[in-house]
Amino acid sequence: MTNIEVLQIALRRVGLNTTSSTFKDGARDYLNMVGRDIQSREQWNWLFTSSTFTTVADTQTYSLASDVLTPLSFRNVTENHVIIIKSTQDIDAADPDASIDGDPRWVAINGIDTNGAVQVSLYPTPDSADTIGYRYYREIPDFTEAEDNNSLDPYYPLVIQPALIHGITSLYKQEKGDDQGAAIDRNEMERVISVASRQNAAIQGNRKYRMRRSDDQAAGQFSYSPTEGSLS
Amino acid sequence: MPIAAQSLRLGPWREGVNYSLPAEDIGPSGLYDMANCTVGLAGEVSKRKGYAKYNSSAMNSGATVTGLGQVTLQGTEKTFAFCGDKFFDVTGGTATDRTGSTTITAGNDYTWQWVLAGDTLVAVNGQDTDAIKWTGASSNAATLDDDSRFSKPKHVAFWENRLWVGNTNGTTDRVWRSDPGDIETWDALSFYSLGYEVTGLQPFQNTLAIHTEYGIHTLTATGNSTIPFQQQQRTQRGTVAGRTIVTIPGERQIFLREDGIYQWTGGPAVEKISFALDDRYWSNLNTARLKYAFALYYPAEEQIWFFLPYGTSQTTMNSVVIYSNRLNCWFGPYNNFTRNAAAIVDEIPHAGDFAGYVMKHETGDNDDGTAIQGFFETANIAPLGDSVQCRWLYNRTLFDNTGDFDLSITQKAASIVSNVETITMGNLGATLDVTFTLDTSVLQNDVSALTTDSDLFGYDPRTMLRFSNFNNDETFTIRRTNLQYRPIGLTRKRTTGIE
Repeated sequence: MTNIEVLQIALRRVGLNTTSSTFKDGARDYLNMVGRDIQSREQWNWLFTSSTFTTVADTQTYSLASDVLTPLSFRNVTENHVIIIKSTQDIDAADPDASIDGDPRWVAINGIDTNGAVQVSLYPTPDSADTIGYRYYREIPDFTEAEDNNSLDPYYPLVIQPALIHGITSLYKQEKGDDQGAAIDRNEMERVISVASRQNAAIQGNRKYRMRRSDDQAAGQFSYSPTEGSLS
Repeated sequence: MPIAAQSLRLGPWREGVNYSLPAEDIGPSGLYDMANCTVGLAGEVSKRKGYAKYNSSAMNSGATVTGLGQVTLQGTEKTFAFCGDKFFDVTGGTATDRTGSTTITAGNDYTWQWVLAGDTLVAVNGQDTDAIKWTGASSNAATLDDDSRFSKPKHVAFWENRLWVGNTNGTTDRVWRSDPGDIETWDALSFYSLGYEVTGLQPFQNTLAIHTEYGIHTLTATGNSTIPFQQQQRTQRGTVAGRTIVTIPGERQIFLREDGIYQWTGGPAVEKISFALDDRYWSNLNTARLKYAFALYYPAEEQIWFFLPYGTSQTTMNSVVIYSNRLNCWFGPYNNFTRNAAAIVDEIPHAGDFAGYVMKHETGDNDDGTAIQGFFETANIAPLGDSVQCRWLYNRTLFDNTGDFDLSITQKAASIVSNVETITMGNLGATLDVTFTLDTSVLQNDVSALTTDSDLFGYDPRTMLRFSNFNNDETFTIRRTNLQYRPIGLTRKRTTGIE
């Protein structure tokens, strides 16, 4: 569906004129609000993506792409090695005056820059132009009227799009004082999100996960050790 | 599963249209606005019927029709018309020049008033020196002998077996009477002076009502040969337009004044009956031209049609508002045409235009081939009061099975974006035992009133609907409509209008 199709279906269900710019603007605001809500629910596969930036000699901090919500991993593509995520305290402890330069091995999340993009620091401070690749969960930018005729498919998979409609109608009915109607639509939204969540969990196909053994030399939050013996 | 909603019924609209109130203060049986629609006896609203040429060829090279009527002369019903500088026998739609040697001056405002005086038609126009008379058959019109007592009379009446004329040249306040049984004998002192310009004459009850703008005077027979009539001023208000005086069954005399339409029932007071036309209608009339307005009584429907100049600079009569005697309400206007004279011909309203034609109204579904633009707007009602927000869901319209035509329904309210829905009316299938064919025909529904639903939108304590059809040869009859809404409750409005 396109943005405008979602808006007009929602307006029709709320009982508002589907061509009024006032109502379309209101519905678009709610589309963006509902979208933020859904995006934050879990680590959606459809939000997973990657990007790169290029280091500059003697420059320690870099801004990631504007749609980065949660960075997951970094790697130095040029030098062909992983960059480990550390804390800023670790970098400060290793090089308090940021005077050491070389091939960056660590990365720390600094916060955001003046444009709201996530900012990172590298250690050692790069001494040359390296391509740094990173994977992250993105956030979907707010839609504007100019994007009304664009397809939603690059942003939200089909399975989640009905939730956007129900979310808009719920918020709009709430605005109009129809709490009962809003509750019904909110339930519909939750039902669709639940279905999408199950689909998100199965996105890896038939791959199964199991807890790692404590003696497999891999770092992990959990481990178990089979114990020989019998319960009898 | 039934829809959880409440219903607001609008119509039947037996109160007609009310231009003097805002839509919010009109009841469910009243209308806020309309044009080219009729309110019927059941309160249903129909697109008005159209008109067609009564005479197929224009009279007098397309001159203006200044007088029209139908009378029985020598046992034969005759339709006549004044057109430009000629007088025509236009019976049956064929115009025959019967001007003879009479002098008729052409001019849109030189309109004729006429009366059947026994078996003679007498007509005056206030412009030509002499009244004319016509006895029908194949004779021509002739000059009425007035014994040179007066000239250029404007008004005429026949009462107590005498011919009466009023507002004569140089003596506008004077009313003359002929001798009894002789409409061409006028004694030198057979006149009455009222002090005010005479604006109309019409018998009423047992009197002759003489209208001036400043009062209705009556002449009452005394039975005394020396002083045969007693003159008396009865009211302080009379008409400004002699051609608008209409006396209807129930002995009510209806007439026009500059501020509205009044009735007189013979007592000491007149009563304004057109308050419903004030403000949004009456304030748009060219009051300076109201003295040229005219009216007719349509007995079959018990309606009075007033032909008025709508538009502050409008000179010709382009708007017809109608008073329903049966419903005691107003509806109209009928518009998109101009007329200069009107009369009942063959029991149906006819009116003369400015191009040599008499138009037969109440005929067909178009205006001589042009589409009729009919619409009406309901009241704007808040079913639960101004504070309670309602979500408007849909409306169910009850309409007559008049044809398979489209009807536009426009929803309006302060917080609702105007929206137009279209419903298709009618069910013109085949009739059983007439045209129905098994496996091919759709059986026609024999129920006269059908229903259909259309969407409503938005949230507002109140809403109103406009029904319209501007298509040629299409009509509609709407009996009522039911608006379904869901009460939301008390809600705050952040801004005025759409939000």
